[in-house]
Amino acid sequence: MDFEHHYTKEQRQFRQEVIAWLDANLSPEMQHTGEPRDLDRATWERHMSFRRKLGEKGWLAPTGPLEWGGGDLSPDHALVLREELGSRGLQWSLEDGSASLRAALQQRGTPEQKSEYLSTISRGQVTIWRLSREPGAELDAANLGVRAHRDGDDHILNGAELFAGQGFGPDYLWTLALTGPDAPSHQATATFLVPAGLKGISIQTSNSLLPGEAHRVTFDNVVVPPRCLLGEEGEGWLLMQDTPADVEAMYPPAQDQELGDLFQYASETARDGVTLSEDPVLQQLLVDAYIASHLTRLLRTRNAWMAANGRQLTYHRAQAALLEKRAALRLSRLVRDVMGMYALLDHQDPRAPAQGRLEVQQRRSLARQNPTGGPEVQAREFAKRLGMDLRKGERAPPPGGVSPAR
Amino acid sequence: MDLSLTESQVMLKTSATDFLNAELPKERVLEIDDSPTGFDPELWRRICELGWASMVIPEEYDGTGLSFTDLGVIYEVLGNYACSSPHLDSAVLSAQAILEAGDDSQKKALLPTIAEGQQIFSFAFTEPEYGWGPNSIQLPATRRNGNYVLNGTKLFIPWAHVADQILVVARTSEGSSPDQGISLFLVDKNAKGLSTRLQSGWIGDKVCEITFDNVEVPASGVLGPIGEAWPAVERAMDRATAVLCTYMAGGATRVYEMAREYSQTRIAFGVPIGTFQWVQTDVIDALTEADSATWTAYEALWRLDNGHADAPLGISMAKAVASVGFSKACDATHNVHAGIGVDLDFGLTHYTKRARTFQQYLGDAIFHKQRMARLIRL
Repeated sequence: MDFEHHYTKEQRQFRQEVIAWLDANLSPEMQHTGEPRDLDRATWERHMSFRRKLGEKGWLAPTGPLEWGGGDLSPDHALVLREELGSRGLQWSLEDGSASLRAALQQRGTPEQKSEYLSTISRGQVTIWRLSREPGAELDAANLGVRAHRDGDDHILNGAELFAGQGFGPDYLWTLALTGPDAPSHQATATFLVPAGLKGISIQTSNSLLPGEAHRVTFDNVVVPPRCLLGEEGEGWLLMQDTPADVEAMYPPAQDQELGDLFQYASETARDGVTLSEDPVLQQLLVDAYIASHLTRLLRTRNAWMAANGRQLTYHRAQAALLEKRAALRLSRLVRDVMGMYALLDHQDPRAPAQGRLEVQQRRSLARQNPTGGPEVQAREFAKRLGMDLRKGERAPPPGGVSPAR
Repeated sequence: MDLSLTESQVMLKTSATDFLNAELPKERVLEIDDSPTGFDPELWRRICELGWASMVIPEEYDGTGLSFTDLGVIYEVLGNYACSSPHLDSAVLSAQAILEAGDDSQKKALLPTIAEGQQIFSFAFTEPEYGWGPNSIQLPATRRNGNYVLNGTKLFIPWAHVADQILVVARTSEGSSPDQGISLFLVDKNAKGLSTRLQSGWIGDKVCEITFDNVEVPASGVLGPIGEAWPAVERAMDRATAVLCTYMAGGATRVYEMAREYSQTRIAFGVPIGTFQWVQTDVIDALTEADSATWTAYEALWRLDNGHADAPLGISMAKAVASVGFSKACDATHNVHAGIGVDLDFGLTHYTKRARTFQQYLGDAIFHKQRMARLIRL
């Protein structure tokens, strides 16, 4: 076994290429600017301009096909990009939630849709907000807020839903709509890529714990032409749920910035002449957090390796997601235990450690815990994949997976 | 044994509930939280009119001389409504410190102004090297020309920005142990050289950085013997801690109620989500944390009111339980509510923010468990 990434000579050269390009195209003041939701409009626009430059090189969709604006690179190349951008506080530049949409377009888009949308999305030329859904969640059709009915060749959308997205406004809304309440749930949906400027669409950003990320979008008799329908009616839920192979095969970055910030604080801050990291009680807790972070990364690495090597994932995604959510909440408690009130100071306070990044962790650990359903969504998926929801007499399939023993 | 509230305590609870129902709907909580000061002077005035600021001040100083348990009943309701006010720091912590450390003339001059709500007091304890033990007091107070001069910084001090007077815990000398050499000073908020800065963050009651730049305190502003204030300070903090625990218990109870209600009304897959086992676990956990906080808090108050020698142990246990439990109850309730729970207008985050702030105030669980270990002589 080998748990280390071994970059080829070509990939090491690629890293040098990335570093040189970032040094030439990314000014110091654009680095470590904090969370995207905290950016003013001018700074946001500069970041979007930078994203478009990344997109021109195919680096926003590094493993995507060249013909659709991707970089046709390997997962290891993609990891290099994430690591270099992450070290500059800009990992979020790569994470706009459009990977699933690109996969859906490649899989079920018409030639016209691929031509119109794929390149512009891959090159960061448009902003997409998508319907907020917990990965792995089952579809509860009765709770789907948007309805679509046919009117000739068009569809008419009505209703409201929460969308996830950053920035000051989308170009497109990727939504799911219920088309037939009488059919079994998963067959009663369709997915649309809707221009945000269509008449009848109104958007209100929620007053949320993580401002600027959740938006209530209302559709009032919005006429949606056929080119906006992805796939066929009845495929909507499956298209939105599918996790693209390149996302599955994405290795997690080696560094856990939040844990690093906490460890740095603990090793640099003294109370009664003793650094916090030397306090026996806090030391135990800090090591627990280290283990939890490492485990989360290890299981994500396992999943990425399996996906990159054609192994079937079953319970693995839900397991890693559940572990990650629990670890985030435990970390937020540890941050408060170690830092006391300093944990709650935001980036606007001159005394905030780590430029307030750990205060963001306090809020994010809650907001990302439960975007649309609590951790039990992942737990149920986990149990289901183990066959624990089967009725008497039914046999559970083997859970599959990879273990060092096999 | 009788674990019920007395008739008068029941009346206190009912009247407090009626008052806050009328005065503090959840939208108002958010408005106050988002205001520059986080302070509603009109609400404060009405709280004082009800006599709440005088409750644990003796009658001889214009108080009503009620018990800490009586006050705890009010605080449980305050926590239930996520009410923010300077009450704890002014009418409990500062008032108790003056009672314990002040001479008769100081008590007569200061306590009535607190009891009647004429003045707001803030209690400046914590410093950049954040902690709640005597070893955390480093701010020096040096003697000069008959006065004492304060130089340094206090951090995370609640309500200093709206206070009239500030009680400052400072160090006048080094002793053979950290609790020796601590003194208590009364400083006018407008004293020359004193400045306050509101700190920024996801914090419950607003807190301040206070900078002391050669702030002179006359001898009349010293409470108690110089260098011997720690026992009085500790007793005052213990009483405030016990009362704070009932606030936290009230908050935990309210979030449990929110979780239970939501689990019964939110429908997913055609059934209330409360039928899902995971949701049931979260609701049960929230209630268990709330009940644990409630009963340890009231037991601590009972020990305090009855002069039990082990009252400090009970108080530390209550705070250790509440510090962890209030936050855990909020986390469990967030799990039940999912996305709506982090919508600031929904109301759950009022409690989450307070849970995380009060977890620290007057000592977190680690601090109080270490104290318990000493008290139990582990």
